[in-house]
Amino acid sequence: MNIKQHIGFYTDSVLHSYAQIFFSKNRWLAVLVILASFVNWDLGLWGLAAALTTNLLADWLGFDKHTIREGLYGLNSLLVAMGLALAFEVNGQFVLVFFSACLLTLFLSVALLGYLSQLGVPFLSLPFLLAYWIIMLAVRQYDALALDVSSIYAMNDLYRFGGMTLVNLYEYIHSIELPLILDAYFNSLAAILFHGNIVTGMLIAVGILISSRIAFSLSLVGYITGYLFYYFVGADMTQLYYSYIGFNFILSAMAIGGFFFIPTWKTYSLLVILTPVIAMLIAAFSAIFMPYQLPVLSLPFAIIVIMVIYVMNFSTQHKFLKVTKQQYSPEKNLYAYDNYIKRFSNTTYYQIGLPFFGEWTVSQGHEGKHTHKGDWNAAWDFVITDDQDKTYRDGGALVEHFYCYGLPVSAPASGYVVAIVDDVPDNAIGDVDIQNNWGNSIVIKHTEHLYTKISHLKAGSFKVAVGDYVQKGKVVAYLGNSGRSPEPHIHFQVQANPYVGSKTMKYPLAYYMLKDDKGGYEFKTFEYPKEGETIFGIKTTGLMREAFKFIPGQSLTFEVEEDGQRELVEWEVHTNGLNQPYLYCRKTGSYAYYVNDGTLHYFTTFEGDRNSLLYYFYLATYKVLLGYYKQIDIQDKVPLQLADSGIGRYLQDFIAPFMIYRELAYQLNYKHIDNSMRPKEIILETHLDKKSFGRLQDRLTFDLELRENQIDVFRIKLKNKTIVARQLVTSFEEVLEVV
Amino acid sequence: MTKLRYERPVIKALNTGVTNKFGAQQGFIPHTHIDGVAVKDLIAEHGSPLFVISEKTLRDTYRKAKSAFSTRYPNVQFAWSYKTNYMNAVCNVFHQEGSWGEVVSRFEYEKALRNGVPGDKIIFNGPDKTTDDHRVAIANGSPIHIDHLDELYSLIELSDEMDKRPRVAIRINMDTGIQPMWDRFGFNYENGQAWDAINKIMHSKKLDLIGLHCHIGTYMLAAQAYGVAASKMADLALNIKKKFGHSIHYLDLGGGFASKNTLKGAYLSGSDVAPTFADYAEHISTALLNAGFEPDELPLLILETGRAMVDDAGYLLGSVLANKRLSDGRRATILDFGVNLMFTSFWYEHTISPAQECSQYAEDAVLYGPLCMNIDVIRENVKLPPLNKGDQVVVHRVGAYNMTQWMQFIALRPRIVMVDLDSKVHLVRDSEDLDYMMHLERVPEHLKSFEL
Repeated sequence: MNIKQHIGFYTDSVLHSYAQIFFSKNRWLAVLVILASFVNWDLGLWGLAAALTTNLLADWLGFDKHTIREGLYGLNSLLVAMGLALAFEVNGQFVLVFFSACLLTLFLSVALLGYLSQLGVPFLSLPFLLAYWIIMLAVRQYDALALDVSSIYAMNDLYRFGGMTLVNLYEYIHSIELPLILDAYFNSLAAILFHGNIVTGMLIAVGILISSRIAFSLSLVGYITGYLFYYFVGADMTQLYYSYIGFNFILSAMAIGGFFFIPTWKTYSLLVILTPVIAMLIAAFSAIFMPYQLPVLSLPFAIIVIMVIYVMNFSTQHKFLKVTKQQYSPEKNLYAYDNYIKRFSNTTYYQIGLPFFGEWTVSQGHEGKHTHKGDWNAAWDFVITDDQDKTYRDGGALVEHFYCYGLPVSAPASGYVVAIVDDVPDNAIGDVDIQNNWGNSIVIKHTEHLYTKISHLKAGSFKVAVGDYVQKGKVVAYLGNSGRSPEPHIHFQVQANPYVGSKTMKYPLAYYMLKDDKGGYEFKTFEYPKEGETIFGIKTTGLMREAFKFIPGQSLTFEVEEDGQRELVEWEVHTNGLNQPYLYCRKTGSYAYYVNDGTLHYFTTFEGDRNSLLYYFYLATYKVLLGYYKQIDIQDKVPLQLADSGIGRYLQDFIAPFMIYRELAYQLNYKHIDNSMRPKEIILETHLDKKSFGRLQDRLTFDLELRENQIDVFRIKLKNKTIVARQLVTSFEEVLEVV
Repeated sequence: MTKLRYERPVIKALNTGVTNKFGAQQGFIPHTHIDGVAVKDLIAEHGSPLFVISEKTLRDTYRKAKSAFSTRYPNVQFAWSYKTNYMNAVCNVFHQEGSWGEVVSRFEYEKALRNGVPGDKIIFNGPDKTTDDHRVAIANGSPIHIDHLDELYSLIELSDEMDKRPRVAIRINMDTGIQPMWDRFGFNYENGQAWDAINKIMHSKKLDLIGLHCHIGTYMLAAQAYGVAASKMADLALNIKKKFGHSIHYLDLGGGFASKNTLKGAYLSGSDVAPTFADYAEHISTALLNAGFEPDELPLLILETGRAMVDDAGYLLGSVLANKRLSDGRRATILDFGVNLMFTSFWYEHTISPAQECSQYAEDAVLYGPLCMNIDVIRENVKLPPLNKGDQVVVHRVGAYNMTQWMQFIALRPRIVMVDLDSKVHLVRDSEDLDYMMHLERVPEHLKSFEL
């Protein structure tokens, strides 16, 4: 790392240490919390020193850089340091104690993080609590440490910091007559930083509001519930803000309501009913700690949150969804989850296609009436029907009368043939062979624990042998009427084991077209064809496949024309450690992660500059079916946090856990193709519609012209101007270097 | 009670059983309705004779053919052969079902364009293409199927002149084991002409060779022959790939599938011996799938089947003009339509049914048309119940070629109607009248008047 990177690293780690107190990584929040801490000069200074010292120590001792940058080590130290700075006068001995405190807290943090992460729970403020109590118990022996009373008088510090103006401002704010509940709320927030004034609390509250509306509303809900509970049981109201315990309700609410779980009305309800439990924990722990003259601080919060997270692991219903990819924002977590569920809830890593050519009808789906039951329920039977929904001609007395009899059956995905049964004669129509239930069958292994089986084939018709590798779409055999098959049909199932008799595994079919009654069709992704549905496979178009084929190592250069100005924009194609490909724009530091599986190109996420060409490209090609289908529209939803902003979005944030009424609807239309066999030019048009309560508010339109096996022209039609990007010839130099 | 119909008595040999060596008995069952519309109502409304096309049969047949091929091969496209029946209503039914167009003259080409078929979906076949025809087809991006070397040279010249790359295929003729072997169209596979043409195209670098085309014959009763043709075509395509690294986009196996009509002199009736679409599809797709193409490089299979697609959907209704006895004692019935409207009666023994109630007692008869020409014979020998003057008959399976090869000879051509899926009758071509015929005629001034 060079100097600049070092500075960046420590700035990040210190800022995150502050923001993490409130489960965030927002820089505004961090700055406001730091400012708030400096209302008491000593506390602010020693807190900052602790954050920096701990992060330096952690780096020197060689702990995980990523964790340091996240601020997870600094967070507890700075709280300990503030607690100590409040209690003792600053002198040489204090500096020694301070340093030991940082080291102890760091070790406790590393140890607890290591241990608790195995249980899948966070360490929260446990290192802080342990270190603080240990030091408070220990230093009673050290006479040289003098108790400090000066810090009670905040105005001395303010004067030192900002002269009379600041003191007057402080006085003015304090003179505002706030309702008791708000006053107590701000004081409780301030108490997290060992402060006892509402200015600190206000600064923190503003920081939370900027960082997250949901977190802010949760802090209020948590606090007010606690307040009302105390009022209801007739407990001592004042202790709420004089003895550092009110924040337990605030922090617990933020953690349970929206940080560790996806915020929904259920998490809000949960935190409301947990309030009495927190109150009891406070009371109980106070009683235990009283003889040792130790404050309870945030112990109840740590206990309840860790307990809830751990306990919910044992819930068999997924009412409270743990956040798996933490984005340090309840909004982002919620929108990303909501979007993920809508887009990818069925998506599987491995794609299974259809085992036939042309249009077939599902005669028995999953959980079917006839034979798809019990362990074998997740199977499909396919037949061919005519306009009268008949499966045969000429009376149907012979197998040959059935439309599907003798048709080729193809591999639904590539893989190795692991089992073949090829000696069962065809049944007469209406007859079933229960002895050889599956009849002539083939099992293909696609990957570990993923097999498909096709049954009721014709004896002697196999084109492949056990051990052969078959490509998707290759004919493996022809359909017969063997086994438990009263009339010819394909039995198709996905299974986890390599045997002909294995039970089924519920696994969606990756992509297919569903025919509707009016002769049109609908594009289906990762779904389960239902009984009675007529489906057929997807054909992709060479030009579209090539245009969206980005090879890691390749760079794409566009000449962008905007307002008469021309500039060059370059994207690099990379993959990350999980082999996920992304486009990277070095100039703007933007990333767009995409998936291209040969049938569909789609983006999963974007990070970076929202005025960059890459961002528009992310929106414009959010989901592209790589086959030209004039009659259909491709639709999808872009998650709110990636393209929505402004006041409307802020208002939406507040009620997002209960209702999401804003949406960003993506749509792709196939506009033009120069010839359908091997096209040389294709034009696509895509839209991004901002809708509120289903009403269109704003529309972005994009044009993509594909030529010469690449995206030739990319046009962004904004309200007042059009940006035109033309791709220059693709460079493969870097690809060759990598090879 | 209505008066019972009179039918004069006949004497004939007893004929027992359902089928004898002459095939199934036919012609006894009256055919009173077409898709729910009464024949007598049709004739009352539109006159006699009258062509009737069943939209339902058109669509059913297309879907059967499509299903037969697309369930066996992943990449199938039909192209409607205009010459078989280019009534716009018929063409558009097929276009609605997804068919492209296949034309063999500028007239048909313009007709397809006017029907709204995009240029790149009109296959331009046949030996009759002028330089101007080529120019239009190149401008529209239509696939041009080259029939002879002169056409090939002409296209190379045009590509320079127009600075465009024509999209071409070459027509191949080959020995598929059937007689007669069609070798008058295209380039021969066995003697190397085909490779000669391919080399010329590839080395010219002026033309895009996108396809290969063959059309091995017509009314083909041997589906195996298509398997042989498909293998040879695939062999060419794979070797072009090997030699030039160029992949062929499509293989056009042409048409020629037999309809259920019975050929003259055939021992068994057409419905008993004609292969089904499934039979043809089986041979073609098996040959292509086993030829050795990579699954994602399988060429598009284009089929131009006309006759088998449209024959069943066409009916000709007519009326009895008179009965008479020939010198040898055979019975003769004169109908109001003849070879002028039924060109196919030169090839087929068309099934003809009475359109009203009749007994099952049939008598041998000769069916004559109304033309005052000796050749005007509809059936030389048919078993039909005795018909009276004014009785109506239905001729089956006349959808292919009759509405394009009919003659305005002696009589004017009648109406064509189409019965839609809801049994509604639509006029799709009006009958000709004197004005229509005179419209194109010019009489020199000195011949305009005469006195008798």
